[in-house]
Amino acid sequence: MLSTSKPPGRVAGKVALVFGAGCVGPGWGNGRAIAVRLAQEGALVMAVDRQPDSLPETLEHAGEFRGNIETHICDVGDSGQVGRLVDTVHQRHGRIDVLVNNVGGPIPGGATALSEADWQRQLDLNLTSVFTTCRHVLALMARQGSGAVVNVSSTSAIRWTGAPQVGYAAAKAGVMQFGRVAAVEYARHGVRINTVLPGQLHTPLVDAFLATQQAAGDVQALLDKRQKRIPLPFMGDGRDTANAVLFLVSDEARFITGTELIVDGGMSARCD
Amino acid sequence: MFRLDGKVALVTGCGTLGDGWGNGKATAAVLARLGASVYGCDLDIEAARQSAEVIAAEGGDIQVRQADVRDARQVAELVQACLAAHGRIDILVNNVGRSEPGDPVTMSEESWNDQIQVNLTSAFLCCKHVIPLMKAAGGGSIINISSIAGLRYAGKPQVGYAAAKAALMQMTATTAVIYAKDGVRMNSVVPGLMFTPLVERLAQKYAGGDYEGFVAHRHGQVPTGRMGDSWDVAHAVAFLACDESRYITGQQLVVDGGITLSTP
Repeated sequence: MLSTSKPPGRVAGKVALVFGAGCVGPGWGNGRAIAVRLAQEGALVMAVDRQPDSLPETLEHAGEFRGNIETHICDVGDSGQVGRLVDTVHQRHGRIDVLVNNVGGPIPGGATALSEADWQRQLDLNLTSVFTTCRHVLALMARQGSGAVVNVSSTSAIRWTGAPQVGYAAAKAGVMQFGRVAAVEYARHGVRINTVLPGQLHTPLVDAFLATQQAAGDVQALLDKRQKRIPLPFMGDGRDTANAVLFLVSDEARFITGTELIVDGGMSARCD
Repeated sequence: MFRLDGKVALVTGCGTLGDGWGNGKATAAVLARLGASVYGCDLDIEAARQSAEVIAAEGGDIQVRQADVRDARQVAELVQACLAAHGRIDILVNNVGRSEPGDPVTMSEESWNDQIQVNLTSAFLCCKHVIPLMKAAGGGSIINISSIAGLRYAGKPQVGYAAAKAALMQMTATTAVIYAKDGVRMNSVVPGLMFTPLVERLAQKYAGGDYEGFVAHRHGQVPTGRMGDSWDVAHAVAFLACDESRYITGQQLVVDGGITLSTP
């Protein structure tokens, strides 16, 4: 039942592992917002990133809740590193209740333009990373008899969203279907797996990469182009993704598994 | 966070007779616990009163009235009554619905038309009267309660219900796009097999009254091994009603323990 009092928080006491909890630039990236939001709501958050310099700002954003966050460096492209991290966290805290897979990012290129090497890189970064962390965490959650996983996909998994990025689109669609079938397999063990599909948010990724990839570096031009596709009169940011993740990993969502929550201001509901 | 203080919620079909918790009653209770003022209605005023009594007893702000939301005039009166009480409507939950058995061969035209009326037209009428108010006020959140029967064959013949619930989801998505610029969000909650007081009536309709057998069968159909209940629906509605979901519109939130994922 929803708590009507503020403390101790909606995910109080849960141990959460958030991969991709840094950010490519200053501001509210999805992973940073997720880590901070879970910490604000009482979880003990393992904020994991490959880039050590990206994590101090995540702690800064957590403010008074920074004590609820531990930072860890790990490359999800390396199964050995992931396994060691999961073991360390499990030994130290006794359990892992929440796993959030937020690692990912697009490389531009359509079906013929994208090189074979970049295609493989996109699958590794966006899809295999999810498989790898789940491989190490799901069995442990099944032994606990409970757990909640949220994988962050993208509306690129279900629509053409304005620019060719075929490796990213295919990988993110794979993340969704991976989540669905794994959800059925693990349902009887009390483990829930869901996917959040953020739409065209204004995250630091736009300023750091996408504007260069898609609009010759003109950030405002890209934002204007993106806003035209979005029915709601504003662009969301990483905090909208984070609130969706928070709801899905909370006990209030105990009967929600194998599904997708699309956070896109209504963009995917139209084709005009 | 996740609070609804100062907001007014109109919830249709909020009545449950006795101690049980139907979707409408649980939804009204959760919205009230989060601080909303709830205005509820039901075809059965006694059921609505009993829900209101329980919710008021735990400190919730709730008023109810009798309304048949299949009737345009009664919907207009309902909305006016809510406005008279609170001056605004921030949240609308279209929860009225009912399944009748049958397929095109076995169903009467009358039953088909009734299924469309009760499951689809009811929400259309409430939207017709509430959306202009939300638009004028700068926004609002509408949540329509659909069903996985609108997505899949779910084990029993109920084509009127299935068609109406599918239509409800698409009415929701398209209306969401149309009114997004006005700050009005619209989403569907799509419950799967739920262990609610309604199950007893369904056992009469679909399983010759074998309640225990019907319940065990329904639990077994869900990958989690258990049906959900009304609180699961209510919590999904509450999330979509809150400002924390401000960027979610035109979508379906499936609350089904994974049942729609497999083709066993």
